[in-house]
Amino acid sequence: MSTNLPVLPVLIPMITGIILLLYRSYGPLQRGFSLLSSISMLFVSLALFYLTCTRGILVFCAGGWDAPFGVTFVLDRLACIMVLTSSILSFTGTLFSLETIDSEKETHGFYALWQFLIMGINGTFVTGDMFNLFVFFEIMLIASYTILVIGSSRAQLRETFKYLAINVVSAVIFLIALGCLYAVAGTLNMADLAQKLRMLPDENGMIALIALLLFVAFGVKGAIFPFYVWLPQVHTVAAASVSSIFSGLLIKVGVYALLRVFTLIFVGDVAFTHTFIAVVAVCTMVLGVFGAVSQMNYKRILAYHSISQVGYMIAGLGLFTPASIAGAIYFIVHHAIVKSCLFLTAGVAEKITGTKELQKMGGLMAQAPLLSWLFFIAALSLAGVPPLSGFFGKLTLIKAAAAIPSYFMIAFAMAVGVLTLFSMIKIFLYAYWHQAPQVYAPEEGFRCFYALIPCIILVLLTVLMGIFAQPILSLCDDAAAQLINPEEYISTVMHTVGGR
Amino acid sequence: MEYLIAIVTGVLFACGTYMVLSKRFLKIIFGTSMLTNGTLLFLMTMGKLQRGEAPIIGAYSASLSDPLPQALILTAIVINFGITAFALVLAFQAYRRLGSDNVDEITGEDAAPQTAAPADGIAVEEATPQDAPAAGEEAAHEH
Repeated sequence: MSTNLPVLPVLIPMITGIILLLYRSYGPLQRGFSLLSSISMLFVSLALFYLTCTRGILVFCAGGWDAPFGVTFVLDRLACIMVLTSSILSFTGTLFSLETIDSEKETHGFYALWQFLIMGINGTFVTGDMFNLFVFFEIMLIASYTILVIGSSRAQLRETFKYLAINVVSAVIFLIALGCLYAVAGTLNMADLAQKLRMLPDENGMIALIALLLFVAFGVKGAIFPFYVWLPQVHTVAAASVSSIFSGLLIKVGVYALLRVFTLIFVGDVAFTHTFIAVVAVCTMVLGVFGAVSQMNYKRILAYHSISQVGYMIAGLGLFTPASIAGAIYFIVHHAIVKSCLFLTAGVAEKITGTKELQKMGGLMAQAPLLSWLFFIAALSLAGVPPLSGFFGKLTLIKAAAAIPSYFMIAFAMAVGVLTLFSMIKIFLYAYWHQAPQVYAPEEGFRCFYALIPCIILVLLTVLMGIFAQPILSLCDDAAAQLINPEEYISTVMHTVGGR
Repeated sequence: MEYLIAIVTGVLFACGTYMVLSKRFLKIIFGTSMLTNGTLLFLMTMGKLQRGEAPIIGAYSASLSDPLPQALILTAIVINFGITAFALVLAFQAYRRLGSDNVDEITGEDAAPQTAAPADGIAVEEATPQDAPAAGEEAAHEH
């Protein structure tokens, strides 16, 4: 049976965005309505999560056309976990924006763009069609270009243009891959593709070529080696709440697309494709963390860490066992929450000190103890210190690597963990512990505690994810089992009657 | 016909790649436009170039042509149109603000913002309030 539910995560932000666009000059309405929308998204995604756990995969056939012909929206467990994560981050990001976004940005449509960004991101999670994935990518990207350039300072204009140019070229590569895929298989529905490509022999290496083209297209979004050059620059110019969504969700979209495509469609030549992914993952991890170690800018260090952590997620995909994919899913959720929190603390620190450069910061421990401790917990979680979620993410991945066994991967993952701890401690020492170089005058009207509420929520979540690691990991195991054995996905999608 | 389209696609890709690698905003936008148009031609070829009947239910014919590639191309054209329009506005705004459309001339971490005189006498008409905090931040970096 086709149900309309999977389209809700796209529909709610879209309608909110349109309404907000119409009433751009009414500040209270903008803020109130986007908060309301993000809260309702939280409840909707929780309900959807419950439904997919009890009733299995939910499928919506747009326009009543059955699977290979129409566009399908599919909610399986992985998609549900991602939608839930996006709702949480959208909620905390909106809360943070309420305190930090000035009225000028508000009238330029900041909140409307925020909703469109969330719409694009959720769309990529729920779609079951490759071309539809492309369309949602573009929606997400146009919203992200615009939300990035609001304020149009010199650096913003420059970095947005670079980001746009890189992404347009990656869209071209994505389209070429889709063209080849259509020529080979004659369909673009993911479930149908999975079915057809299993039957087809790989003539002339065409399927491997398509797989690699898609890897490049998703790799640009996911900030994977060697396509991550845009990320640190973009984060330096973005507002803190925008950074939190970029690092928490936007790059996860690339990772999610890779997870989806390389478990469902391109599993014919695992020895080639997934080994390639594992090697790239190690490069991403190592180079990302080296970048972080060499930087002295608060946000840029965090941005380089995002790259390095994406390496862990991709490594989980590259190892390609149920345990490693479960680890990757857990890691995606953990990283989204923690990195989002860290970027928000960066925003608060910048509001207090007026700078992002670590050498000019200091003494925040005395001035804002709550901020410091929140940063400290989140940083330890990112580095993988035991009771927190980062530890269990890394542990699952390393255990999965040991089961293969792939000691090469373990060695790199451990070494990168140490360097992560090192550069987190660097931020802590410089920005929070050292003597303050001057007495800071925080921005007028900036209420530190209110801005810290979203950080408190996120830190609580990372602690809870650590304490309740067992049940959450078993949810991830279920999601990974659905990915590794896609028969359920394929048959549910192919046998859903559109209801015309 | 395939050969002709293949050659045209190749030429578009070659020109597009060359233009994207240049240093001017406008050239880069033309380049990405060319790349996308090349891709659209490529998509059409991948759906087989054929002379068939219009695929309308009821009008059965021996040779119906596949409508899907054209639908895909149409969607891609619309998206590309939107992105090109946005890129042009962005480039124009950058030119007004930065006084240059050369990628080399606008690099640098904390280069002086908006105060630089715009080139060719195009006045910066609207100085938005965002400039003030940005300028303050730049000044703080100078200390």
